[in-house]
Amino acid sequence: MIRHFTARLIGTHLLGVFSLLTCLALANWQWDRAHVYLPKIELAQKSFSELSPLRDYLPISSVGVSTQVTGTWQASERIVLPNRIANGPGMVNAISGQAGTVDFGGPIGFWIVDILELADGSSLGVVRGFSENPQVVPPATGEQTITGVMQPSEDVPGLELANGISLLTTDLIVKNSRTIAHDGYLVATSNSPGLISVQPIFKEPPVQGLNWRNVAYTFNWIFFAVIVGFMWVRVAKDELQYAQLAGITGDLSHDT
Amino acid sequence: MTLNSKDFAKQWMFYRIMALVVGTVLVVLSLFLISVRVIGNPEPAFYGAAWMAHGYLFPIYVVATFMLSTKLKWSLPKTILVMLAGTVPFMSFFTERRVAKEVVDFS
Repeated sequence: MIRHFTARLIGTHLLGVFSLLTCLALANWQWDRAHVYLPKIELAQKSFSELSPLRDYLPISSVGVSTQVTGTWQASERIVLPNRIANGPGMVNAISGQAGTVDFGGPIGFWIVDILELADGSSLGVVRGFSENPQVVPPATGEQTITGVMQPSEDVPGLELANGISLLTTDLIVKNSRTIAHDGYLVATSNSPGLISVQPIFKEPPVQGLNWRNVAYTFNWIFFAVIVGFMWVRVAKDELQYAQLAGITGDLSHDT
Repeated sequence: MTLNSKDFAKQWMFYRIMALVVGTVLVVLSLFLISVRVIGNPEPAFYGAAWMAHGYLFPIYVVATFMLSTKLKWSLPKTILVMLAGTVPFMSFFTERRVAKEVVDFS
């Protein structure tokens, strides 16, 4: 019996267990991401560290929640987003996949996004406001405490902005930050000189059902897990046959 | 079991079809990916579903590769490399050609 525990067979089992657990963990991760439904929650102000964990996605429950954050502006890292209006929800495509241009019904200008470097060394993208003429907006400098609401990266599944607006994504913020950046961004509710306050796209956590894309990926990983299980059994059976044959003939050269 | 058996011919055909299907879908989707991400064109309506379909086709390609690998007695690293070829645009076409040569040499 002990001859059945060949090095290759043990390796096969280890690889099988590892691959199966990886597939199931990834399925579980996609299943978690698919659940974007949240019951109504209290939108009381929360501390920034509670809302936005570093090195992780912005939790859905943090979207639209008010917070205060203190940091130092990185004046040279400004992002200016064109073709926008001050009313964030007005930029959202009402009908998914709708072609053509949507009339925004208001002055079109720029969102001014400055990078705030926090005490822990991380960076946060802050939409300071809207301006039709960004050249005249004074640079944000020094240390400041900002009140605002957290928003997800604009490439979040389910959100579609009209008129092909260039998106304010975490990728863009990361590229303009000198240090590790938080996922999503903050829309300042406190006024900045020369800027009109921006209405955040999400005023409260989005309430919806399951995200079909993530559900499909969940089943994709389960499908993979089944295939891994099939391959594991098949290889283990072959190895066992080799081991049994070697046991009869006394030849274990297959292991080397 | 010999390489000329009917069973092997089925496995070989299964692998070839899957390599061709997965490779073609991946190349087409990569072109759309460049169109959407690099050029900035809007996502076509079928875009998400098509990537999803590729996500389900690829494991079938993995099974086809695995079945063939057991017949051709490939090593584990080689089997994994051929499986991974299905994730790189055009690579599954080249790999299929190389495997075809191997099959001819063996037969």
